[in-house]
Amino acid sequence: MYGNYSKYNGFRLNSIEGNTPNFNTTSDWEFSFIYGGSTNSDNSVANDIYLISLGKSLQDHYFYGRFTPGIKQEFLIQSDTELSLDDSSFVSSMLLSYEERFGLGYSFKFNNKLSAGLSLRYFQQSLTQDELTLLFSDTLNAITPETSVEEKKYWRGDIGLDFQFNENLWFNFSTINLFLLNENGHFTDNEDLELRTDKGALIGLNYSQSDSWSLSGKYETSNSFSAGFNYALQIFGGRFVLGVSVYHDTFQNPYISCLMPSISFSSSLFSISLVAAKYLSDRTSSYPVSDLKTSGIHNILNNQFSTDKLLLTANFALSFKQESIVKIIDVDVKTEIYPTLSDEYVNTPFAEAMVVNISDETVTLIPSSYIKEVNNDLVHSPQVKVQPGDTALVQYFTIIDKDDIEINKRSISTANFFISNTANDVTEEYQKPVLVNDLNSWDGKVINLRYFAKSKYQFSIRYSKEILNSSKNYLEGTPADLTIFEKTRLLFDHFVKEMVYVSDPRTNVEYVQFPEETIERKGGDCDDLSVCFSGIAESVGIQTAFVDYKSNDGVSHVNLLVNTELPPDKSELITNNDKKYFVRKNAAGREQIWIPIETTSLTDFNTAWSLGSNKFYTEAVSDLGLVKGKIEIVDIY
Amino acid sequence: MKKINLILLMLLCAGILHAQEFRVEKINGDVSILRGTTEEFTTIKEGDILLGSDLLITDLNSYVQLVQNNSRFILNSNSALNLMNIKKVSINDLILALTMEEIRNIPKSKSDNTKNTAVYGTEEKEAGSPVLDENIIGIKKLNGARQLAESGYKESAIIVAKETYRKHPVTKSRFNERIYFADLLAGLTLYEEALTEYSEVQNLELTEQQKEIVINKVAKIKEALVVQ
Repeated sequence: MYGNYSKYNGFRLNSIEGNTPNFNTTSDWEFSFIYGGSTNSDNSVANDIYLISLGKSLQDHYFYGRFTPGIKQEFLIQSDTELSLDDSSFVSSMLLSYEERFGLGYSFKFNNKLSAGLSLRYFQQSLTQDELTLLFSDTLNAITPETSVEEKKYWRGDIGLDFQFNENLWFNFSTINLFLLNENGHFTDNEDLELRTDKGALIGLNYSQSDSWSLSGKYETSNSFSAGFNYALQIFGGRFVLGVSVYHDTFQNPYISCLMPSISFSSSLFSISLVAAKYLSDRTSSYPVSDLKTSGIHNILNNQFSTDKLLLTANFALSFKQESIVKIIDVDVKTEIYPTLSDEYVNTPFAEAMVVNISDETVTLIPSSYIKEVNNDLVHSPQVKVQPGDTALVQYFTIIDKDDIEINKRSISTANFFISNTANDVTEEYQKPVLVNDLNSWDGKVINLRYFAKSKYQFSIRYSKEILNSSKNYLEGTPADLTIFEKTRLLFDHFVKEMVYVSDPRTNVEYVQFPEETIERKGGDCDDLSVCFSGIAESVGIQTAFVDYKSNDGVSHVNLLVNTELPPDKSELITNNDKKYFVRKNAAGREQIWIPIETTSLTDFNTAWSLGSNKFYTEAVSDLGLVKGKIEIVDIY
Repeated sequence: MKKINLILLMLLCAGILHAQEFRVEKINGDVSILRGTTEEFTTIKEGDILLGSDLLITDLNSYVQLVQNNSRFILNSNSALNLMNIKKVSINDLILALTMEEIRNIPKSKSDNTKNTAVYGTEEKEAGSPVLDENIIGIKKLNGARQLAESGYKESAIIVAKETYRKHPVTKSRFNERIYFADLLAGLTLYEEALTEYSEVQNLELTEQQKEIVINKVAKIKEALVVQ
């Protein structure tokens, strides 16, 4: 019953009894080592390697093997009869030895709360006796000792399980001597000295109200029990645990037979602990062999003849592969990537992942993602807390470094999704294909045309200022109220001089030119021309809005509204006809005159204004297109 | 304007007007149109054909009689009417049109109609009796809308009036017209919309008599809302 393992240290501690289900939270390889010393009856100290074990996790399966040279106990039984001849004498003795040589184990984790396992351990015990033969001859009488050895060997099999009721309560169960295999040999005439194999069971409960302390209790069907208390501190990136346990053993005296203080430190890569076993009765005396025969040996490590021990245990994660405590179930890529709409992905997730917390503690998830074609580095998304066993929806946002990358071709890329956490250094990874469009691709949402209008802004600024500077004198003579209106007229008249309307050359994916491209190519469709003039106007502070004329047949149209900033009571400064303007309130509540411009009318400003007004007034206002949702004003900001 | 206060809009069938084409049958005085989105006023004469996109404008002491598919109507003096507004509008479309106020605003705008009303045309006027140019297009349009309502096109008339307030802010301070069109809303049992209108009128600079009228109307509307 030295199984003082803790679920908190992350290692299985298959080193000693008490973990038959082989519960562990490690993955990959694990190496355990116990070195210890025990006091002899003459107060000398015997050192030995108690255990060397190697374990391996394969998904939900766990296997281990262990070599236990130090789990042994020997008794020297001296005969009280001395046989003497003239020239020789002899005292016969028996050497009784119990050993657990090695063990094998397997466990299976059914889910995050339940695991069950099987262990097989090989025991060997021997009884070595001196048998004396008397030789008589004419000249010589002698005693010749002969040694006889009796051995008993078998495999002992047990099963067990671990179950976690909730975050605080943990239950374990294991059998004792459930079955024996391949038994051979026995101690003739000394069966009482054989290792007892009474069947039994061990039940344990572990309770922790917080991360800092826990209580544990175990009960064995032989009416033995133990109780322990552990106090933990998080320091040096690991867990430092102080503990003490008391033991009551039916076969030992006094009632509390042993006291076990322990100290341990564990991290995700290793754990080390020092455990002392202090027996509260005198273990240095000699006992009549009848005592041994009467009570028997039930446990090699812990019995009425065991002496004080000090055990140093070390466990190492050999592969340095830490435990995964979260798992990505799936990632849903919500949208294709349109690099020019970069700000969209800062505010709206482009993908969502379902992530489950497979640990027994609350974990903070740190999501990040990387798409080679559009990211220069990992892009971190908002953190999410998830309860033990719970599933969380994690949103992935991205920042597109479109100024630093060249995306000239539409392609399918791989999006790498990562989930790290605040509890350990393990990062889960998931990959999904994502369609990355080229820079001119547009998702068809008019609201997103603003990204094209405001992209490569320096060109628009330069273009606009050049035009306005050439008409500086004219503008200086313009009444202040009309400055924006006149600027709009000047810019538009210049803009349309060399423009030619062309229909969109693509069918599946909308293709939108940047203002610079439209000017260079001297033309474009309604999207291109509206984007271009919007960019030109906005670059000198003239507010514009797209007017989205939606259509059920898919042939939609876009033109512009331009804010003259004139109040409606000064409309006569620009027009006699109130069909040619639309009154909107600005953010400050001031009503201003906006004028519709048909950007595909490549004649002059007045014509474009008239055409735009005619369409807008008829479809948006008179036919109630605006309130019926057929026409939408999309502000650029 | 007060002498000629009736519009004789005799329409045999509302559906006939969909053609949106009118012939000038009689004219008295100066009558002109503003066609589509043009800037030039064109004087019309008997026998001319007018379109739905025309804004018909009469001067003081003038009137015009139009005919469309055996339907005749007269637009009285000092009025303006978009001919496309001579149409039946459903109550649902009227409600939708009234929501235009929200749609037209730039997001996050904070309306402050009181201030706007005061600034645009009434700030320097005498309370309750604004001295306005009766000839301005906004007033003409309100007159036209009123005649439209009297001819049975109440819903369309309300839409025209609301648009006129917006585009010609000086008309917002016209107490009688504001009350008239608010009453139309109440008559159509659009009490909440009517209450909004009365509340806006209350914020105008009013005489004591006008205030009393509005208070009474607000009280009646609130009663109607409770019953409803």
